[in-house]
Amino acid sequence: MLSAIHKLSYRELSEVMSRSLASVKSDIHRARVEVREKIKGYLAENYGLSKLF
Amino acid sequence: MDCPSCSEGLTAYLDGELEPGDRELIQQHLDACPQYHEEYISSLHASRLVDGLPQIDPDPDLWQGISSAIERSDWSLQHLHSLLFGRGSPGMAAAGLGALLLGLSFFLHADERPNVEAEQLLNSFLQERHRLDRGRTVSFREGPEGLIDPPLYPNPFAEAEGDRKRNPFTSE
Repeated sequence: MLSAIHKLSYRELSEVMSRSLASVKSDIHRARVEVREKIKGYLAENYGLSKLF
Repeated sequence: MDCPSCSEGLTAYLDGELEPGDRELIQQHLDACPQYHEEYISSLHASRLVDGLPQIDPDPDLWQGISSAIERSDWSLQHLHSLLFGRGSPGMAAAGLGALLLGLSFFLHADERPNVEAEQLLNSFLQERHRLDRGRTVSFREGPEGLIDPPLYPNPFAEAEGDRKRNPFTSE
């Protein structure tokens, strides 16, 4: 949310959340992968777009 | 640099959050590894798609629902506290403790349960996008050769030079 919507940088996120930069980087990556897989599944199932990503 | 460790860097690369040295490493790996380049394109398109989604104000009832849920949660904890440490019977206290342990177990194994709420939220989000922008829900169309929308980073494995575009994160 803070990254995608509020556009905070990784460094700002680490300060706001009191987390290390590496931890922020890892969390954002995992979140992106999860969102991507959910969108991929949704679009494949509902729109037949199997090769979108 | 192997692909799994590079994948994490790829997200930071797409966000323009890497130091110049790390960025150079990612670019070298993109030039050398077709699978990694494919991962890059996939991540890029997913980021573009998410960025293109409209921001929707949540239903006013959402915050009220969250607030009520928190209040209910507080009430449950207070009730449990009175059972455990108040004048309730030992049996009631034991039942409360059992419920607490069961809840703790449920919480600790949360990652193993499907995130139904998140899935429903995403579905409604995409449906709203489709309703607002019908016909242009997805900006990346498929053609006979695959994706029509070309990647920003130059594809070192592409045959046609004319299809290449500049990487937005380099000064080249």
